[in-house]
Amino acid sequence: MTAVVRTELYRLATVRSWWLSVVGACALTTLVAFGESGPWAGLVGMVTFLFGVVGAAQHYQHRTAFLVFLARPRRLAVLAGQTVAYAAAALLFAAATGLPVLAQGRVDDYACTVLGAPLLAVFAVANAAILRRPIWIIIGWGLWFVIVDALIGRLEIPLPFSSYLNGSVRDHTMGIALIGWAAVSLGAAGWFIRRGVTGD
Amino acid sequence: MIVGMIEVTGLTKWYGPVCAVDGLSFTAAPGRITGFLGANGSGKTTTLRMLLGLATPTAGSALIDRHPYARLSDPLRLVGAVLEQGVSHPGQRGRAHLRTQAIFAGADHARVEELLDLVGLRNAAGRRTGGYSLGMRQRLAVATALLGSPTVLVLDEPANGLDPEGIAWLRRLLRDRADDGCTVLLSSHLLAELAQFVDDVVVIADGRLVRQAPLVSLIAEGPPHIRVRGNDPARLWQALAVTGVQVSREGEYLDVVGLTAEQIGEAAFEAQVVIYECTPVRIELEQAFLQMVGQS
Repeated sequence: MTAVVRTELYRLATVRSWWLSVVGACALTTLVAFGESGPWAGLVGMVTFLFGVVGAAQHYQHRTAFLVFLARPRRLAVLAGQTVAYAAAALLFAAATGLPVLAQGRVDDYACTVLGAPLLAVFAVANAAILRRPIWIIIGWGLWFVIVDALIGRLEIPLPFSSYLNGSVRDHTMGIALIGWAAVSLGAAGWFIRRGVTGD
Repeated sequence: MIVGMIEVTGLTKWYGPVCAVDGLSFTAAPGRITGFLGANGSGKTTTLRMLLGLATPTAGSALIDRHPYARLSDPLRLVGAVLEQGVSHPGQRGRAHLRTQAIFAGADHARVEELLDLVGLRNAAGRRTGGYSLGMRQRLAVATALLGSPTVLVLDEPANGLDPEGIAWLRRLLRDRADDGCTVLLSSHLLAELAQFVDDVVVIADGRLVRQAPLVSLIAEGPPHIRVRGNDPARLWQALAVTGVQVSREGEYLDVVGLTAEQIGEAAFEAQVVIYECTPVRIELEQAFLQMVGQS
């Protein structure tokens, strides 16, 4: 599993478009953190989810999943490694960009977001392992967020993104719901990752 | 125990109602290069993917060193694989790609540089792989496969995109590996190229085994095929055709399948035809392949 974590992080660090995106996202999110903590938490969640989905699903898009599975044929170990890698990256991202929030004394907001972002990263990686196509996942969950989470649920029902948004502002019930979503999706990913890999 | 033996037994794969591989059995032995031949859609790639643990067989087994790929403890130290068209992240540079895979293989940076030299990509190692030609991607894929110094090489259409020089390089590389005791199994549709360096041939059609044999025995099989030219092709044709063998005419030449040179000479003598040329025709792998697939 350690090798999977190392290769994921090394790969992200050596693809220019990735680290440019990370630098840009860090700068923007840090800037937003100087204002209210809500928008900062929302942006952290969005960036974490997008990076988790695109990073993990790119293996299928560019077929590097072949190389990962050839090197580590035990698929659950691959899933665990990717989950740890993106969760750790999300934690660091939230912790670093949220320093202005911390400096303003909003310790609870900071802590809830720093703990919530890795869970959203787990949810994202699990989705990537299940669906394997980043565009489908992003469009699908984007529509879901607008229609189901926001319009129907008014961000009050413990759905995945509502759970994150509310959990990151100290609603502990929603925080627990987010843990549930991460766990359920990870369980499903553990089943679906065993599928064959094709070149299509 | 023979290290690196590939054993495929009763391997079967169904995709819904379609049977891609149907009870396939064959072996590939260490120290030999085994060519895996079949027309497009015959099940070659599916078979190799099952061998490499990338697809799950519906039935049967595909073993390397008596183990399914998924149960190998350190697979990259035992098996190196080149998959169709090579795979890499297009935004990653060649050297970084190899270093990423080197983490998995437990190889150091010196090994990466050594392989960049071996595959002739030293000067292109700093370029992003998205800008590589198909041939360069194949060379990178070969380098990736060799990172763990494996004793088994499985290659799916490795010559795709390589220029003649690249193909000659690949041929030498694989021959050297086999001479060192490695097991080399490769699929290809470039039969003329393959015939120059494989030791054994496995032919499949519609997912089923048609034939496994050493190349030399495969192309030596079948009735003798002789091309003959005489001073009276029509009379010679009549003299040969009455024996009941297959004779076809192409200009001044007759292609005779089923008679030896001696028998043709005697028939020509009796018909009072002067023979100018009588040449045995060597059956090429391509012909043998087409005959086998046609018969199956």
